[in-house]
Amino acid sequence: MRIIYSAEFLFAVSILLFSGSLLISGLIVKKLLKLVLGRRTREEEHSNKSAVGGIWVLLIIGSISLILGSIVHFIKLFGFMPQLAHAEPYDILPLLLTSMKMGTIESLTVLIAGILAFTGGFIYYLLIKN
Amino acid sequence: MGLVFKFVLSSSLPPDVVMWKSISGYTTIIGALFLWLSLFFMGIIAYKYEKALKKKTNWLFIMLAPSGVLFYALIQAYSLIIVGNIKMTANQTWVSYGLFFLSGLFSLLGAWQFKKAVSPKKRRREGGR
Repeated sequence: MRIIYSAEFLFAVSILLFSGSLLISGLIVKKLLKLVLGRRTREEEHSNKSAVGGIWVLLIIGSISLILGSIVHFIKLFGFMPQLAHAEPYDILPLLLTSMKMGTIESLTVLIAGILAFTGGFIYYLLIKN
Repeated sequence: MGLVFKFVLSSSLPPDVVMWKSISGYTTIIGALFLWLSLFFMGIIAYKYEKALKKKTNWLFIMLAPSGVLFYALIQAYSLIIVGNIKMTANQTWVSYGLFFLSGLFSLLGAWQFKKAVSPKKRRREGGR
């Protein structure tokens, strides 16, 4: 299995870029929520305003999750891959397995970030739809 | 889950390795799709904001910027599910990661532009104070 270090590095940096855009998106939603909820009538205020007012946090948590995913990718890239490249034949399998497990943790962080950010964005969309 | 077992049976690598790689691959594909959808929603939100408040947000750019994530997910799905590779080939890796990177860069740029549109402009103090 050939590992392209520069491409893997590019991928980790990309995750960080997405994390930045989710962070900014969270701040935007926070600002817009103030605008939207501030304009609502008093009757509507009795509904779940406080719960909806916190949906921007979902995007921020998503952003943090992506940062964690990026850290895991960097650990995999600089910690395990060089070991894998110079491993003895009997060491390869355990290292490969650990690397795959770390890859799964990394992809789980992307999944969690995606679900949280989608949920936050979708709830806000439902709020402003009309 | 059936596809995971298909991978396990069809590969010469140990089942544990193939299983973890498959789980990781599928999770990444689904996660990437959710990420694309969430950033696409930001484009819709920007569109609504521009329509309501008549402020330029570049909503189309924000909407199109995360498309690279979709291509990344498609290439990964093609390599993993259709071809049955354990890992993307070098060309697939470069194309998908390159698109993913560009998408991340453009998404960040789009989000930054939208934030600038949403944030009120600071007025200069008159008289240089």
